[in-house]
Amino acid sequence: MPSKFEDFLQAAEDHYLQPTEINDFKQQMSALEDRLALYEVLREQELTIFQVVVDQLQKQRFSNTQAELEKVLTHWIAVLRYSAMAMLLNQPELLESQLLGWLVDILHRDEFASLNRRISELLQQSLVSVLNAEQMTLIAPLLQKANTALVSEDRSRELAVLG
Amino acid sequence: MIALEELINRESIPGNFFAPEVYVQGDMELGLIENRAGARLIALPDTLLRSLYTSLENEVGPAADLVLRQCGRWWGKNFYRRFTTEVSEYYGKSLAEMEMVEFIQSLKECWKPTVGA
Repeated sequence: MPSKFEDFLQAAEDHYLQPTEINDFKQQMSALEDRLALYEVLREQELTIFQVVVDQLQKQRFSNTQAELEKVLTHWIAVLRYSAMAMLLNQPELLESQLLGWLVDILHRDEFASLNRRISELLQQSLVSVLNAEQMTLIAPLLQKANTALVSEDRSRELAVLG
Repeated sequence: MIALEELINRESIPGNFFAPEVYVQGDMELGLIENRAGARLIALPDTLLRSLYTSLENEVGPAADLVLRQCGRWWGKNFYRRFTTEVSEYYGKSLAEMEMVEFIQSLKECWKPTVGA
């Protein structure tokens, strides 16, 4: 999977990069800086982000056991971690191959349906309060992917997405 | 009460052990490939596999089935032993402690074609 930076390396094989290419390179650099900054926020605020989710979650009654609650929540923590890495590397497909493809059958079950939906909503709200609008647009597509795979009711659609 | 801090501070939260980007590793120059747990892997071209079947058929005729069964049994036993060790090490629990669906997922991911990935 060649990154944008490797493309530049290859383009520059036998010549100096052209001004337009340099500009493009600068843009890539600054985009990477933004992504790294967001990654750091997600990493450092992980506890805060999920504490809000947990606090809200505990106001509600679910038919699941405590152990199930913790398990499902742990998987969602993983969803955000893998999303963050996929966002940082700008390789959204990593989220699918490294987590969602495997997780979908484990998590997308009837008994977890309402729990999944609620955690997903709360996570979204919690992120909105921690991140700025620009950062939200970076991470949102990945969370959307996770939602489609783990929360969406239409199973045939999500299989098509993952396949 | 959910002990969130405890969940977050766990060493790692496992994902897909068999994700192709991380599962197959190796040294292209030396021509060696191994999996993420360090076990050696071998890549065999389809043509070779097919010709093995054909040659076996030519060499031993009707006994080919028996040979294949014996080989398969031997290979499968070793495969399962390695699969069990690696999966339970990665997920931090023995196969017996795993939920059926988790086990099935691992088995499925392990056999997912990764050609071109």
